[in-house]
Amino acid sequence: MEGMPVKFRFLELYSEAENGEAWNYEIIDVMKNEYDDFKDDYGRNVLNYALIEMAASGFIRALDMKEDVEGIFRKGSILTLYRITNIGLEQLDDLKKGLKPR
Amino acid sequence: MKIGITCALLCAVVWGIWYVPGDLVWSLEPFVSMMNDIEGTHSKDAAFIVMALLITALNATFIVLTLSVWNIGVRKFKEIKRTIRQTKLTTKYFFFAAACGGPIAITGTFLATGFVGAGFAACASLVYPIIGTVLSMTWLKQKMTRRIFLGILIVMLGGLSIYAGGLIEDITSGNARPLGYIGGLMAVIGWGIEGAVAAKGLDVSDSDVALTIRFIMEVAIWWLFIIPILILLGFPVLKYTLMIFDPITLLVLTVLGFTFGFSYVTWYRAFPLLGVGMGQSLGSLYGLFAVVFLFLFVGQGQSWTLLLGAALCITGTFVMFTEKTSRIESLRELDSKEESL
Repeated sequence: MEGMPVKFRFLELYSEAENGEAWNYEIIDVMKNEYDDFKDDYGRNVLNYALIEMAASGFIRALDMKEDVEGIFRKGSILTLYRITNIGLEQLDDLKKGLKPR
Repeated sequence: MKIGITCALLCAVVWGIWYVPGDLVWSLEPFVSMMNDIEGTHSKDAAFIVMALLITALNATFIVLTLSVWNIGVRKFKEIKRTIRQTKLTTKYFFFAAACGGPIAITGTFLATGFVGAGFAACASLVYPIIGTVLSMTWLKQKMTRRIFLGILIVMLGGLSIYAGGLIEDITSGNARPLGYIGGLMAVIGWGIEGAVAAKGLDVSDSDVALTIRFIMEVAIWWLFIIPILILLGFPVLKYTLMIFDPITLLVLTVLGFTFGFSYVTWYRAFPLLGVGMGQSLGSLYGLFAVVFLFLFVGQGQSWTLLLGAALCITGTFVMFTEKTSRIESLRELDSKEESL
């Protein structure tokens, strides 16, 4: 659901992704299209930081990592493939229960 | 994790500095006149309590001003709006965090500062990570390694030394100041609970957003409930609040708001990356910085039991600090099939 707080939307997008997996740059691209305030490089970094926090919380886990040699995301940075965890899915269910109708 | 540790250490330094204006504000006008006024009509204890409440309310107000500037810089206003719109999702946690952090913890630390001293107030609340850790393990299901648990035990011993030393000295000298020690306990319990409750909300919120909502709620609690109650009880709080526009008083209040606001920004940023137990324990190094800054700027010396306690707290913190990063990559225990890279 668009227009939700970013971490909520990330959980939603990962739950909808094939096998619950997506690279950080893929999912951040989707977010940049949905949120006006995250369209530039700074916004991209804020979104990537949110993913790092979510991985630390155990909601998503890193499956694979590689260096961004082609500059898909930011040249020289680490690209990470994440998958949503069972804790992340439970958290999403809890959040949906408390959702305010739009 | 390195970002989290940097945030927690920055928090400790700035929080330590906060005790300098936090100590100075007690000797500024119009607060001194307000204390004398209330002491004449009520009692010295009542004067101290009302002053602690008013300073805490002003502290929160100046923090919101600081955070407003901060949020312009980090461009989080739209995310604040999105988070507030979904009230049920997270804001209940921030309201509870505001209630525990402001009226309980910060008032407590100001009471401890006023009745015992800023050094005691800073060191007494070093014990709060114990409460935060227990709650993070039982309620948030965050995992705990043996080394981190050992570190927390050492911090607890340090806290006991701080309390026991001061209490024994006061009792033997017949100069016990129970309200100061109660204030210290309020800080421990309030901040301990705040960390865990806020971390629950931070799981699904941006830290700058969470912090701003938490302080807006605290300001509302102060100016819509507590301060009006004080006015209804006949305390001249409003009269003296309108007299804070003296340049020196405004400067000290601004520094108070800036230092505390920034320490909270880094504190809340550390929680999602380090967990409540480790984030709070590293942040609690502020006790050391407070003792150093108070000595440098105010010339306030400290007793040996307090210094021993602070040293134990710092040792415990370093025991946690040296835990292997790989063991705490994820704060929660994942299924065995789900282990991270």
